[in-house]
Amino acid sequence: MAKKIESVQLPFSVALQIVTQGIRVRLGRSLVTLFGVLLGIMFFSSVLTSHLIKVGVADEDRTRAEANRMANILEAELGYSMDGRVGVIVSGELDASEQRLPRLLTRRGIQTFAFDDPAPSGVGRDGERVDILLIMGSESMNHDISGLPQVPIAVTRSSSEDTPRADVPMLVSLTRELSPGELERREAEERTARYRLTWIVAIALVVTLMGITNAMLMSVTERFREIGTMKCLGATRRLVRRIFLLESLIIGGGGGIGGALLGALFSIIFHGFLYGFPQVMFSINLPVLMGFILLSAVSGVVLTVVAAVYPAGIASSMLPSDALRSNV
Amino acid sequence: MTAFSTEKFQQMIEPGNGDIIDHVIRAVGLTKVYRMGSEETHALRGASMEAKRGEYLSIMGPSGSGKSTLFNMIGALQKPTTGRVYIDRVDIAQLDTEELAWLRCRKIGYIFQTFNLIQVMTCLENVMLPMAYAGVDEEQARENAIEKLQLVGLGHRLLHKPAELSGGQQQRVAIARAMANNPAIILADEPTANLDQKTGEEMITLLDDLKKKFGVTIISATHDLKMLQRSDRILWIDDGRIVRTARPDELDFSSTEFH
Ligand SMILES: Nc1ncnc2c1ncn2[C@@H]1O[C@H](COP(=O)(O)OP(=O)(O)O)[C@@H](O)[C@H]1O
Ligand SMILES: [Mg+2]
Repeated sequence: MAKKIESVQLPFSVALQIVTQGIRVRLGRSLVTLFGVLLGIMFFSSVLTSHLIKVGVADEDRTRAEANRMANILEAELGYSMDGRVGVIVSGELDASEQRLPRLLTRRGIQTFAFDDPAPSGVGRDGERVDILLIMGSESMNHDISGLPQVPIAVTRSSSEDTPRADVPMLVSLTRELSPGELERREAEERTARYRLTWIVAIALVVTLMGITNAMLMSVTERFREIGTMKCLGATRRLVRRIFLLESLIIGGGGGIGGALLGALFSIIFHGFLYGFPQVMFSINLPVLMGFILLSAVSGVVLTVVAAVYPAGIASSMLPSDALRSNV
Repeated sequence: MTAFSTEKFQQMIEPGNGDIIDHVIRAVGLTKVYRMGSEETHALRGASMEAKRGEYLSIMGPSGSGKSTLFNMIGALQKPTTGRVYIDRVDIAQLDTEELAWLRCRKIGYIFQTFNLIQVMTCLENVMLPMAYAGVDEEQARENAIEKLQLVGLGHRLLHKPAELSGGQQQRVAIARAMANNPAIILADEPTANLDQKTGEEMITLLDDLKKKFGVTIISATHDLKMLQRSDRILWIDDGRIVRTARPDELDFSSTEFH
């Protein structure tokens, strides 16, 4: 007469249905919670993006200054003649300021042209005159200059230790020599910047964590009685946990992705007004920005799930009578 | 999943003879001690009781006498400090959490003094919930829930939220929800305490009807005189002990004891 007891194994779809129904029936409340997560992640994402933009703008300034400096030297070398002509040889990888240099020279009225094949006659291809040869790139100081025309040669990466070469009439170094003190100062600056970034990210993470934990704790603890009722009606511990896991995944996903995108967008708009939009767009490192957005979104999901599942786990393990009594 | 193996199940069956076979619930020597810091409250001090299949049992006692504690123990909502509870001859102390959930889902329906409806859900959704937990598919659950709500006279309030209903109507929803999976037992903890006299009476009539119609066993903690008159048997509890058992026809309701 005593019947067999089989424990219920609810399919995943039932849990999902309960969750979607739950979110729908308490839409207002869910939106508030989602908004809490969204704000937290927006903050986090905007802090990361702002840092990226600032670094990008500073890099951009440095690149521009460096290119200008090299252009100034070349200009002086050409004697400020109105029709100076520069033959450009690329050897190895170009850095950002080297990439800018030819365009910058052109803008200053100095003609540049690619001087790829060594021509002994002192002219470039098509018999063009060359006043100065510019060798750029990571391999520029090792570039074989034998057989080049007898004009001054400017090299972007030579150092003072390089022996002057007798076969070249004049070797101009465009490299800026950093004094040991300057080098040290720059290293210290970089170190400080790294510390500052770590610090800012840590603070942002803590603030975000607090915001999200607060939102989720509220949303779970105010439902302890409901969890007690659910357990009285036969919800298993696993079902309760699964319901809160799914719910926090949905809220964390929505708030995380939305917050990450909005935070980045707001930061770009803010700095756009500050520095000008082209400047900002130009200095953003897109792959890194994508990485930061992804990191923010994933942090949102993870923080939300952890902040919800932990109290829900406790509530689900409570005896129904205790959960019903709790008045949080 | 964890269907009981015959062997495990046999061990769990209460030893005894045929006499107890019709006891759908039996509690033996229940004690419960609440510890709050250094303070101990003895809510139950060795209470034993049993309920026959299809019986309407009332538990009477002053506030703080342990009615709710007993309700929680026999409803598998809480564990006794010592003592045993058998439901359908199965010792519930030996059930794991999943099996307890099964028991709460299919075997027992609970009715609370404060209704405990889920406020954000409609009446229909509230009644459908236990069926969702039982794995009933949504369409079927909706159909059953409508039927149950009609049974308690709320067929016209399906889509209302609890806050839009009167106390009596809310308790009717709770009764419909308790009946959702056609349980063998309905446990009620002072179901009429938050209702006015007339509404309380309606609730008692409703429970009585359910008992007659479906043969459910009803155990109800109560203060309510009307509830005593309808019940098959009354237990008095005082300071954690069952002090008296009687049938209503043995009592004189006009005596001062009941006023
Ligand atoms: N969770 C609890 N923690 C501590 N004491 C409790 C708890 N539940 C009940 N009690 C105490 O146990 C006694 C019996 O309470 P209860 O069973 O609620 O009585 P009743 O339902 O008859 O009013 C009371 O003294 C009460 O204060
Ligand atoms: Mg009570």
